[in-house]
Amino acid sequence: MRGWGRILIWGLILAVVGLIPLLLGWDRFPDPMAVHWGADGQPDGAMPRNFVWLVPFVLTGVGLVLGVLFRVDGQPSAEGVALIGFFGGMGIWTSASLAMLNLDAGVWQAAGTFDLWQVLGMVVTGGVFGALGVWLGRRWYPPAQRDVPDAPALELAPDERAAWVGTTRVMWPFFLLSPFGLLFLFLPGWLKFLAPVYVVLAYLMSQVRVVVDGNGMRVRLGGMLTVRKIPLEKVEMARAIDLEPTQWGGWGFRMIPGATAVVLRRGDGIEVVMEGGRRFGVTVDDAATGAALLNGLARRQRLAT
Amino acid sequence: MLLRIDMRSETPIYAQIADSIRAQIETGALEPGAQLPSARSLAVSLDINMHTVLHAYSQLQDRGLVEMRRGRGGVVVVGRAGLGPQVDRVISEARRVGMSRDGLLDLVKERWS
Repeated sequence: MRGWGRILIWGLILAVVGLIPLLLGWDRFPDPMAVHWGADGQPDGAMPRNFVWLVPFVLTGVGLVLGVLFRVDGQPSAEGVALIGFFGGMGIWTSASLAMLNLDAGVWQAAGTFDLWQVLGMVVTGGVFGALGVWLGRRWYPPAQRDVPDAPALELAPDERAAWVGTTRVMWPFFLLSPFGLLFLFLPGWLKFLAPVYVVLAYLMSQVRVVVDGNGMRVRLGGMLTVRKIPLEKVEMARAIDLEPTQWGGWGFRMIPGATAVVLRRGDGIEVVMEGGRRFGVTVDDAATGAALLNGLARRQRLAT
Repeated sequence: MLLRIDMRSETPIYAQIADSIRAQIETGALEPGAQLPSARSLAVSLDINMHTVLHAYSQLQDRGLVEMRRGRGGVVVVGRAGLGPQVDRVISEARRVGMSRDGLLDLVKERWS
């Protein structure tokens, strides 16, 4: 659990800062306070004052939950810190905004008008604290993969040429997509012709081919669609991993903060760490050989330049 | 499938490719049913002529290790296990007549050349 203390304190600080404007104006707010505004900008909802102070905590809480969801190997991630910053920042603006609009209103119906500036302010404040979170997160939780000692690399002679081709084939996309594909047959008119699109998608997701050569790494689906190209000079490190789909956002073509992945199954896969710490993962058989060749080629290129 | 080509070697490139693929079939790294990359893409990867790759593939085909299928490229048809049953038969025959493991290996080596 090391490292979660900082993230909790970061969230708490944001919530407490959000509390300040509410505490400052506390005695000058109506009770209940206006907390919701209609499309015309006029207040249309209220809440007892004793609940309103929870607002910044609730928003920061949402950020904390996301921070936990975006953990990497059980540790907080820089993205998590940024998300807490973003939601905490929105919480700060929200309570400041509530304080301003309710100040000296007398009754909640008389609270100030909610306009576009309030929305804009919320996004901007969220953005500013989110950016602060990015900065802090990178300091606190640098991507762990960078600490990993160099993964095995194939020794290559200066003028040696080498290529590695690996594949994975799975059947589940066909089983998964066929019920949906059948539904298309009941669609009216030309929409029926979308059914073959599903079959094509299933075919694409059923086979991945990874090529490692002097140009870097190339990932193709279904033997025809290139979905990823990583040039050698972008490769910082590659390693064979036991790819666990839940850590990469699931099956299929996945995008999670700081990483993308092509996941067809669980198990043997290559993880490539690129400059800046971005990661790419792909499930493929004989991953150790592919990763070692990629490391060897990248190292040779680095030494040559 | 890993291929390493030494451009300075006396061995022609097509032979290096064929030898390497054959070795990987023998060790079981390439199993029956494994698809070889298309000659075109492998030629691009290794920065060599496509006909060199085709030459290597056709040599493997002549030896019955690989089958070339129209539009699908090469497929490995024989695995390391291809000789398995025959070898098993030889071993059990050797055991029956009381031949030692080394004795059988010596016999194989002798006959090989």
